[in-house]
Amino acid sequence: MSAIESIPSSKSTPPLSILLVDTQDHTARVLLDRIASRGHRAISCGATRPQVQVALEGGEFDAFILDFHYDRPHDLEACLAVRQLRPALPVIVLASPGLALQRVRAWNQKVACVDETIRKPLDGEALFRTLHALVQKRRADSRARSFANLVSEEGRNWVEHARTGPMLSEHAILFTDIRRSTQLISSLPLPRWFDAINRSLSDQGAAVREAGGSVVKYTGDGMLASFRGRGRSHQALRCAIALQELDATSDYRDSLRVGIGLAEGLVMTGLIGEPGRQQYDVIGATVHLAARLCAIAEAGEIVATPRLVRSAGMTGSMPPESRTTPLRGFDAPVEYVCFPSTYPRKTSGTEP
Amino acid sequence: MKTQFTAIQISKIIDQALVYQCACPAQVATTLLELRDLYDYQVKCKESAETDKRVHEAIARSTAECHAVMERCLEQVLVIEGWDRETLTMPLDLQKRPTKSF
Repeated sequence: MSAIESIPSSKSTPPLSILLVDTQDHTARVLLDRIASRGHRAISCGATRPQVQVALEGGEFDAFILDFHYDRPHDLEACLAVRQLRPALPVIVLASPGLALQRVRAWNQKVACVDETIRKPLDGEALFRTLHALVQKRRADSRARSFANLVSEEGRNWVEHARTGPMLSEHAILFTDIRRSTQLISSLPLPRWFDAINRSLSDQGAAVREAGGSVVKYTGDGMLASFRGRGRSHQALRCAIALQELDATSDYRDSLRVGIGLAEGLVMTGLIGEPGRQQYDVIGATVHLAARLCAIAEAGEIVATPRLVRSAGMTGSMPPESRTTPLRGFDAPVEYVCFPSTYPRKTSGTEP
Repeated sequence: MKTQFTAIQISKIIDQALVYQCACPAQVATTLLELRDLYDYQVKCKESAETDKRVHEAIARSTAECHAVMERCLEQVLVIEGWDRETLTMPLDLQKRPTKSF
């Protein structure tokens, strides 16, 4: 007995919607009738790719079934079409033992698009057990993907590598913060503010990925991103310049402006928080420094440590002189360089 | 082992009988395939020097006898049910018969 056969059929499962390809009329009728008698919805379509495509575009389906007949080997292409057009849709092939089953398995070894093969003649509950198991797996996978979206890329890597303790390593840290966000949030209806900030943060996240970094977290009206490995300073500064360009050219540039802070140094990465509600994070003085530099950056400005800019090797981009400023939490004044905004300043002052 | 039905013909019979309880010819056809697998396995075992040839010869011989009996049985069933012997197509009245176990 296979693992799937051992799963009991659930009569309480919600009705499923099934797309069927069966080129023999009488077996197609039997399948459609029996699927309908279980309270599920099934429609059949032809086996060619265009026919499958039209059927898939015509509705939402939970599974695809091909009743395979040995003398129609090209019908298997319907499975490939489904896998390409709806990658998450479970694909089941019914095949008679012997040559037909061998043909299906040999074909599937090459293309890997059939999730389950069921031997004919169909034995009682086998088809429905398989259907329910595959649909449940698909829903579980979809749920897992939704949860994974809530975790940063670095966090997912952390979990996938089964790391337990924190790690110390060199990172370039980039902070952004939307200027005047408190005034803006008071002047806009919340749904509009939510949409606007989502747009800005999505664009910022894309710029980080494109530069080779990863977003550690969104901070409500900004983000914290990190860059690792050789060239991290170069990548971080390049990303900051891209964000500055975005600040100057986006169609929301007159309302949403960002300040950008950059620093490089040792940080500790790992999971923080109580067991059961932990999150991946980066901590350390470097992170605080980048946050403080971001806080003094005006709209459209990049404020970075001279060390990071020198390490980045983009000498042409180096501002003529560095300045110093006292920063909260740091004993001595901190040296920084500022890349001024390339877009006319609409506001003065900053908001921590 | 002599065979009366080719593997393709057996596949075709099973193919048309979708549902177990109304697929008696398919059950016989499936048994034939299993017997062929068993026979092939015994022949391969017989070739191994480390095994008792007489055991495998006995099994292979009995399997071949069973296979011949079941092939005759399939032939009779197809005639009784009125299958088209040339195309191995299931008769229309069987196609319309309601299924039980599915």
